[in-house]
Amino acid sequence: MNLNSFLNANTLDEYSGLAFLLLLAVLAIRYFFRKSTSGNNPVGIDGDLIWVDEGKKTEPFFNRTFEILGKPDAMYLTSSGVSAVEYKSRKSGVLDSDIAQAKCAALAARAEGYKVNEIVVVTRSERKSVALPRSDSDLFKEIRPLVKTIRDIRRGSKGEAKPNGGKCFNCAYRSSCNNRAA
Amino acid sequence: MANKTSNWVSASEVGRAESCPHHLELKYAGAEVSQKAAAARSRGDVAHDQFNTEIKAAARDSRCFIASQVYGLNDPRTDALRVWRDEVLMPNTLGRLLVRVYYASSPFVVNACRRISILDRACRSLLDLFRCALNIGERS
Repeated sequence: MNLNSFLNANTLDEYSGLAFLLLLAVLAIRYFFRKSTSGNNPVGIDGDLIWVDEGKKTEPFFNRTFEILGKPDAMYLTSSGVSAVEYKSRKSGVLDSDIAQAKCAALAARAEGYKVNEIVVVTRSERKSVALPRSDSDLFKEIRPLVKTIRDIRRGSKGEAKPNGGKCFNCAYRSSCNNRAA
Repeated sequence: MANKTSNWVSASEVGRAESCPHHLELKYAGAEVSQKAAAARSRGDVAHDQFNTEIKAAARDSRCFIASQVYGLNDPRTDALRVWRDEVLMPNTLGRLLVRVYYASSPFVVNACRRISILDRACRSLLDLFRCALNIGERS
């Protein structure tokens, strides 16, 4: 059915349609004079939840170009693109390692069609958002030294120890480590 | 997939490499994981589940689109409009602006539609007209 035949079918109530258009115009004006109601979800992102990690049953995303895999905790469709959320249940603030992990997960998600342009890392005390480079290769450049380190360690290289009180105290391999700080 | 011998690298390993590469060295060497760490991991999994539940609940509350109100949340026409939003509007600036206006106004319109039946009918007619004009989805 085309537009003309639809109009001829007289399905549109003229008065109610006019009232609706008027209402829409009022709302549009209201929108420009009032700040949008953002942040009505736990991560403060103004957008639609489009993907959420359901735990072990959710497969990670695979980026075959860079041979990396991962999954964000959630993804939101916002007015500017897709925001990937990395949640950490700890009380302290966001660490560089959280951001690196989130970037890798975002790059993996990009390979499966999610145009992630922002990562948001959330802990129980802090929330940090980072804008991502537009191109996948530029994003990969930001994590490439870490990916190289991992592959080198797998091939037998030594992994540099970065001892730190709190970090070492909670480390899973604390009892096997000779470099620990605590 | 991301085991000791493959070339694949996982996001959590990238985080570990930033935090302490020696951790990975010990892991790949087969060092034993402490019970305390295993317990902390379980607590972390529980916290993640709670977080996911929270964000899903919040997402359900914010489903306030006019199309969902008029046609239903899982109606093919609503899905067609969502696809049109993602594929036609979201890639360009004006489209994203329109989506923002729509997001801002839709909760009010939906509430009004629930109370005033004539407005609900007007919305349906307008959406039908809109879909028909742009050939979005199939008419019922």
